[in-house]
Amino acid sequence: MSVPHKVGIVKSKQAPNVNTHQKAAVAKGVKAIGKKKDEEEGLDTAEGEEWMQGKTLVKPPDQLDLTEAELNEEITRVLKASNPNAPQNVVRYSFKEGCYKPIVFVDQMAIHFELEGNLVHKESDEGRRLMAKQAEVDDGGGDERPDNVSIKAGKREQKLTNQFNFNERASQTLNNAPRDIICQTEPPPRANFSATANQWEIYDFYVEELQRREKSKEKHEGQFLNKEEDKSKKKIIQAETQNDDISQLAKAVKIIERMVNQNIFDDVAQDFMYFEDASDEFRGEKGTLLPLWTFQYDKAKSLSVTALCWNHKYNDLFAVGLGSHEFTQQGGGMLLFYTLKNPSYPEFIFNTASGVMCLDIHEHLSYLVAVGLYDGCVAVYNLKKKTDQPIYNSRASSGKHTSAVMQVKWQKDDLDSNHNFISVSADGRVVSWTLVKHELVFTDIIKLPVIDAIPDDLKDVIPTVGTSLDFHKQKEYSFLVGTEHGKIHKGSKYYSSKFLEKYDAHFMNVTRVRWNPFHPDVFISCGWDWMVKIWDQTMKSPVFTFELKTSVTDVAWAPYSSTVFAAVTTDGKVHVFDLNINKYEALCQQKVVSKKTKLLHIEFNPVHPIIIVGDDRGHVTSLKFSPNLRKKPKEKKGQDLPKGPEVEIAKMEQLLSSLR
Amino acid sequence: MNEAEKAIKRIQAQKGVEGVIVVNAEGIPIESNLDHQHTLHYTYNFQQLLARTQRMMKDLDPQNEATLLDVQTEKNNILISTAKDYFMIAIKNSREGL
Repeated sequence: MSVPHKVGIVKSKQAPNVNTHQKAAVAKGVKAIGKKKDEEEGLDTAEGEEWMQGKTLVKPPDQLDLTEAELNEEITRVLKASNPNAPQNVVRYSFKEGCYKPIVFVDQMAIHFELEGNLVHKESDEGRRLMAKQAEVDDGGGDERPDNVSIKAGKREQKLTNQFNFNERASQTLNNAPRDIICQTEPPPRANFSATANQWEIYDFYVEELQRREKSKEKHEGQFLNKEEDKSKKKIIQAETQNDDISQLAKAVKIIERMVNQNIFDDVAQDFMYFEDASDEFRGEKGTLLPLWTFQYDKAKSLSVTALCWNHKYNDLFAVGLGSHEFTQQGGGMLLFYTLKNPSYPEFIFNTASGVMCLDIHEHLSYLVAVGLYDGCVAVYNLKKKTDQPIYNSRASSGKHTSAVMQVKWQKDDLDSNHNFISVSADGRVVSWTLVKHELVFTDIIKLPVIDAIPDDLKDVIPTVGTSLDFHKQKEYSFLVGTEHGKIHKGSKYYSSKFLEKYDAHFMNVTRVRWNPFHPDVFISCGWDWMVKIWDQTMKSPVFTFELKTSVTDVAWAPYSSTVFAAVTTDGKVHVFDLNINKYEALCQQKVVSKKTKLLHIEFNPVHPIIIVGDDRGHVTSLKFSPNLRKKPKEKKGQDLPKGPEVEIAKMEQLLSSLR
Repeated sequence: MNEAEKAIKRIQAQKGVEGVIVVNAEGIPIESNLDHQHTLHYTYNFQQLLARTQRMMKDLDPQNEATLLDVQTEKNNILISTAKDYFMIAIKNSREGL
């Protein structure tokens, strides 16, 4: 609180009797109070002075000693309302003018005492609030529940909180007890793998890889060839990739089987290779045939061997066609492949719907086999494929033979490098079949001329049955066809209208015609009229004629000599001739099968001196030539024996010239 | 039945063949027509012989490997043939002719 200033002239007497009130013992205050007192005393001097005179005067020791004159001097005192403590020369920086400027008006207020109060007016907001709160606190002082407070807070006026009657309630929500859940997955299966990598392993692997690639290439090509067989091939491929326990052993098993057979038939194997009949020396010209293995298949018991063919590439593999010649006994047929290494079981077995009448193995692609069937179909089998079915079948094709196919022969690939073969059948047609992609395309080559005996109106109906067919080794267009009537026709692929030559060969069925492998003009024929005849194609009558005691069913030239041939007859005998040695008689006439078994076919092995003969029981017997039968003309000492086809031709020529 | 099984049966049916044992990669005989003890006996012994032979062949000529082993004894003739991991034993009586 400020003491109001009075500006006034206050006269003061500097009297020694200034201070008599010893309560205000401050020097200045003494003076001030003394002044007031003086004023009051001025008014009530009479009373004061009287009171004052009662006491003795005490001089403070530090009082100024002034003279009378100075004591009586009048000093004016002015009262100002300015605060002596306030700063008088405050300077402030003015941003507007950029310099310091003195502030003229300074707050002159001096605060002597300050006290914060907490009085609030009743009517103000705060006052009402506080009053409401206080009322609550008085009412609900006993209860300590927090929800209570919250309920009541809404109802009444809020109480003001102060540090004396303020309650705070806190609560904690229920915390679930923490749990650890751990999950562990199953570890991936482990296996220990160890292998050695050395050069052998690497080499083996590469070789296998190469083989696999070649296989897949073949499969690829095969699929292009025949789409129909895709399904069956897929199955086959699956079967191949299956990891069958036993099938991995197939190769080993095969080896064992062959070995077991070889060991069992060990003596036979030894004979095959090494045995030379020593007694031949004593026999003069004659020779013998040594029986080697017999091949039979139990499922083929009722069938007779209708065709035989050696494989040119694998000289121990030969094909046997089984069927029946009899018209009345027609059933299924089989195509079997045997190898000399395993005489007890065929390597390949194919079942055919009707009897096999003839077969031929391609000269170069030895896995292609053409088969002619009794019902007139021709089929081509691929040995490389594991399937039972032929890859081509003329069943559905339009040019199919209407009657049994008697002979098939492979030809050289045509201009489009498609394989083709020619067949002759009992319906009198000679047809060429070409393997074009998925099917067999037929081309009629020629039709066998009908004999004059048949009346004209029946000429178309009754065909001339062609029974045998052979192509010339050097001139492939030239061929011979033997017929049922005993005629042999020479034809050419280029002349489709008629035959070039006709030979009256036999009185009965011509069972076989064959060109001589060396001499270009010579061929041999045999027939049911017990005859075997050798011809020079330029001459109408045969050069040689041999009469064997029974129907001759087959004749074959030896591949190593132009003058050796062998014939089989229905009495089970094999007749071997060598024209170089004996022009009139057989060197060997030997019965090789049991009674009543007819021999039906004969074939020479291209390399080894053995022949196979097939009989009507379904058996195939292999026979080895004794040395006498294999004799080469004796060489003069010191002179190199010239070998080769020229020699053979010369030999034959010699013979022929002697007869002309 | 596939070809290999048929062939095994044929061999077993051949005259003179006493027994045929097929052993898999782990040396366990999977097929045999001898009694169990004999089978194991033969397997164990021939496995060793075969392994020795293979090692020897590889030592002599790494590109070459043995495919067939033929043991001719007084009483019989034993053929052991190997495939990829398997091998096969055929025991045959040695007879003079048949």
